[in-house]
Amino acid sequence: MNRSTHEFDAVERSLSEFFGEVRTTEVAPPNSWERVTSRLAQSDLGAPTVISGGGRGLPRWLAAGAAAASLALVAFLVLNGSSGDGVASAHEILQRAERTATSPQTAGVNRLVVEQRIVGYFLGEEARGVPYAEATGRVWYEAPDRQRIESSLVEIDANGDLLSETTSMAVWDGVEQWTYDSREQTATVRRQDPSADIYEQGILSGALARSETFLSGSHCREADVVGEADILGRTTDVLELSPATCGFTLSGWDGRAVIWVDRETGFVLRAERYAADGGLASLQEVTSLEINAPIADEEWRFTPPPGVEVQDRREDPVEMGAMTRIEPRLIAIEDALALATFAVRLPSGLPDGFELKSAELWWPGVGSEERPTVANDWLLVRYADEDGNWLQVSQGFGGPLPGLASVAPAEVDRGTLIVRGAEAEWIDGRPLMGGRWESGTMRILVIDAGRVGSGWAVGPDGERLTESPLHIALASNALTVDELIEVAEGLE
Amino acid sequence: MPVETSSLVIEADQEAVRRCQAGEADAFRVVVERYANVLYGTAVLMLGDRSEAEDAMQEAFVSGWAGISGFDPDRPLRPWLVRILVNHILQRRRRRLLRVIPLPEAPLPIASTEPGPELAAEHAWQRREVGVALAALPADAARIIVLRYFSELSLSEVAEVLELPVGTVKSRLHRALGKLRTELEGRPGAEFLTSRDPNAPQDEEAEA
Repeated sequence: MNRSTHEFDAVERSLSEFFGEVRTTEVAPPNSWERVTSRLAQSDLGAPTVISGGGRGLPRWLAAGAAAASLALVAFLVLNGSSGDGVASAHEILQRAERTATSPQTAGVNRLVVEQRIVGYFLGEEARGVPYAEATGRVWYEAPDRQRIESSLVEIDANGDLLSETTSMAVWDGVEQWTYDSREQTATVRRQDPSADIYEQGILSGALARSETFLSGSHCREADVVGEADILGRTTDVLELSPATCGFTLSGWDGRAVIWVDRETGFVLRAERYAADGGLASLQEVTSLEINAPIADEEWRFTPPPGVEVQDRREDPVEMGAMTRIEPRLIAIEDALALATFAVRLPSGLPDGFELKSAELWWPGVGSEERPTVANDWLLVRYADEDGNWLQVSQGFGGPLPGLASVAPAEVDRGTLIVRGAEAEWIDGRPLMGGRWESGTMRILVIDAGRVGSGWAVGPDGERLTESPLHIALASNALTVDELIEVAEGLE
Repeated sequence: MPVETSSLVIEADQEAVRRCQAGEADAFRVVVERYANVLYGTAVLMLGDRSEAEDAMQEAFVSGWAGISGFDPDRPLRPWLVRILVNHILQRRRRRLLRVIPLPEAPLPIASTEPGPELAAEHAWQRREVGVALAALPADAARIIVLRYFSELSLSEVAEVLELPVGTVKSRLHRALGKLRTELEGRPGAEFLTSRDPNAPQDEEAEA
């Protein structure tokens, strides 16, 4: 066998598994044929027009990937610390902006009213500076589950003639979700998924998309603080980002970019994206911003315009029971400790060379007609050394059986023992995608946290689940079971 | 790996193409419904945005319909459509299309088959590592991997799509996989992705 081919087997297998997952999650919209025929009708096969609207945001897997990509920033900060002189470094500012873009509450923002605009410009010398489209939008957001978005898109040709104009609206009132598209002349109402993070679904982060404001791909760019500026009476740090040196999906620009990051909150208030030839390719700017000001209840109501067809999908299911929707949140450990709904326990001692690398707080999703209050979140903290050895400590609602151990085949090496005065289980290996267990890749030690969960969940039939024992799982690719036990004994 | 297109699919494609060439627009629906997912997924992977991907997919089908009269029904349809799509994607990147303020989709119900959050996290972590590593590759390297492993084109079909000699595709794919492996190496929690699996099936074509 060719050695290099052999070497790539595992990579190819991983790709196959990854793409297999993508195939199941990234399927074409069910109305693709109708969209194509609509476009055919409009295009007359000569000049197809852009069907915008229906924006679906960053794919979930890619959004997750983007979050993971910021691990590089976390690691950078952990390893290098802050600039230490009271002035935030470019990477510190970007990290803050990333966190705020993911969860404004981490910046103390619970209510938000923002107006914003995005302008795209023709490229090339002849039409440089001439806009070809402008999108404007206004967003109201109130944590955790109310939001209203009004947006419009105007497309124009190089002569300034109007090509199309579309307005869209979406309202989440905490119970129901309405969407409206002027082009389609339809409005749809659904039950709002109480487990869904509406902010994360690309609204504010849509206009100020992380992919567009260069945060997600920031590990691919050099960033420099080039000054400060006042925008809307707020002090911003101005960062210049170099052209990306990597990444094919996280950006749509080849030149440099300049972003203005609000010093208080981390919101990106303005972003200029340049083409490789230096011409301005797009401008995104916040034109008004209100933070934590009261929002009138009427903003959460939606009345379909006259003549609009209303599709009532409130009877469609939004639930599948406990622990079904899990969203990663990459956050600072301090935030994890503050946000977790249980008393987090972390190692008091680590093996030589291991350092904190990242923390993720996962929110289990539960849906039912009775709106649940879900508190059974789950924390994953990762440590690693410079040689690639790692240790992860996860804790939270685990159900009656530890997840990893419960899927291992019978022949896998495992055992039970007493740790911290309670029963614990260790197991060798880990499951790969596709359900295959790979022995020898790591050791997992699951210990009883010795407490009953502080949270609760609603089951698929609306029943309240109170059997929510918390457990802690330690896993490592390098540490032995005895070493994991030592770490476990030191948790506090 | 290149998909093993069944003779039934080939015959159905040929029939659909001939009907399209005879002016039966409805026959194109068969083509759209059969290849929408692979075009859409390919576009998502290359553009990183569902809205843009949907748009690119539609553009590709419109162009496909416009050009189907000159298409040889005896040739495989998938690589021809993928090639049209890739051309649109490359044009799109050059045009720097403005992204609109996206409307969110309603959250979709997700059926749970997972035994617990940790396993879900493990799987998500693995996928994420591959996705992030892929996104960190140069565009041409990522593109060739997507065409080969997601769009499931053979090396010769990838060569046709990218207008490159097959030998060049082989060497570029090899280099792209090497870069991906390098990207994956050293990621905490992702070392399993680069572990060797002696039992993994061999790809005869790649080995050639």
